[in-house]
Amino acid sequence: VLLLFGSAEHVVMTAAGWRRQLDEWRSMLSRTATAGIYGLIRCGVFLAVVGALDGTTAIGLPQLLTYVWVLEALFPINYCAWSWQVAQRIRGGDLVTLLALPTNSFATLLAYDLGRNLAQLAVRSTTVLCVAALLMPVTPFGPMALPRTWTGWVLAGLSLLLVPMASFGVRFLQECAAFVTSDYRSIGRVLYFPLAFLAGFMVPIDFFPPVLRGVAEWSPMFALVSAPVRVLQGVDVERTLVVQAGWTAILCLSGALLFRRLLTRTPVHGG
Amino acid sequence: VGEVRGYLILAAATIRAQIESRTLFVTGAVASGLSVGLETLGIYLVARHFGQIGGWSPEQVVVLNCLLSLGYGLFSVVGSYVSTDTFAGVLRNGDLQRGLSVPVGALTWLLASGVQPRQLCRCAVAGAVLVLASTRAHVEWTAGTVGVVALSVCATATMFFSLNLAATVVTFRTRQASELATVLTVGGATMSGYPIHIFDSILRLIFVYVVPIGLTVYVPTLWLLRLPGVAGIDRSMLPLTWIAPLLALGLATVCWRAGLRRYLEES
Repeated sequence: VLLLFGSAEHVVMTAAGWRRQLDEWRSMLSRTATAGIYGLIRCGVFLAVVGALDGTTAIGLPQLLTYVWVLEALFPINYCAWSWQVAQRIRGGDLVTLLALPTNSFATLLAYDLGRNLAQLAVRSTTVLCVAALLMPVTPFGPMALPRTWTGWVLAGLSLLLVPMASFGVRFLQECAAFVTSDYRSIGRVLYFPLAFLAGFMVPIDFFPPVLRGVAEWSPMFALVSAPVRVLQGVDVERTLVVQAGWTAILCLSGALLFRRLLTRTPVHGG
Repeated sequence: VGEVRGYLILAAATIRAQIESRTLFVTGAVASGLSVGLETLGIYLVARHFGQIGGWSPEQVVVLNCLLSLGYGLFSVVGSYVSTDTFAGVLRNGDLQRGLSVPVGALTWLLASGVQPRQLCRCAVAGAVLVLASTRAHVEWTAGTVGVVALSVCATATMFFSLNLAATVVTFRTRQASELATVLTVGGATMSGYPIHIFDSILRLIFVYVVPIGLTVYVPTLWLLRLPGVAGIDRSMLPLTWIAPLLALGLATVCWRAGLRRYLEES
């Protein structure tokens, strides 16, 4: 983060991304409402499944409810409406305008994306999580498993703030395929479902068999959903946060290195 | 006859255009197969984690889910352009105007232009998993059970199609995807992937009688697994699994015509 905000230009780019996203407030509000309905449906499924077992499960309903609402809150950050825009710029040659700027190109792209996703985090994710946390105790679903101390909330906030950066790292690495093939979307298409499964978008990784769970816990996808879910649930918070921060740093650094290496091989204006 | 011939000619052209880019076609097919495979694996893992869901074993839940996936797969193959978000894009890009100049009905053009052969991979994976799971769930394969599967798949696909077709009346007006249709389609699919008797009576009522996706999947599964069902939803309701989608289709066609008429008046 320090490296990113090292120059004033990057702060300007982050602010530009923030404003750009806030321009779409109507769409964000409408999709927040839809996320609320999906969340209730998923809660209904878990309530029904656990309820039919008389509550005798290894993972309690409060933990499952936290999983559902964190998933709904973070979905738009991980599955961005503007995915593949970098790849389109690479193929379209528009990247040259970015290279002409007197700033680090990778950091500029990261800063703009971060601005957009921070706006989503502030408007959509926070709304979904706050409304769920307030409403759940007065519904048949019961309360969610949430931090009970201020330290816990600070760590949870930190974990949520790492998600936009980790998400950019994962998406950027896929978008770099545009440097070598025009069929870059094909790669993303094939990877989408396995990566979403490994991240815990379809079911919590706690439900995975031990070997698969081990793979999911030590994969970079852990930083996207499962890590913030565990931090909010209060499960192994410090270790989870360290792993999440580590993967976020690795993803961003490998993105920056790959971008620099691929740029040296890319002809711009015939040279 | 003219409409059918027109549909076949246009659909063949759409398929040829899609196969033109082999990489995109193959990766699209692989992705659709992976999506249904991993979704089913997810539901299996949930059922395995809890040991059973509403008294059903993980394999029995997978059989139910595969019927749903086959129905949704069939809808994706033949009716993807009616899907609310895709249809909103068709309207905004002005593609429907182009379609209206073709000498077939607007709906025929829409269906033919949206044929997605790569989604057959979704059906193939769902079918393969159904065969595997049904062996473990002790399903006896006879002509009758094959007929029940075919009925369920067609009825479920018709229900998804009808829901999205009905939503076009709103999309014609707003040019935006109908969130209600998305919620009913995705929500209905999410809930119908589990035995519907585990839900409370209000949700059961909605997904059996109001938006009967639950009916078209759950009741045929009861037949396959030779289970009695619960009060209010049992095997005797099998005839309803084809009557309800036909009624929904009739209602959806009325909505489509109303929306199209308004669109033509405005344009």
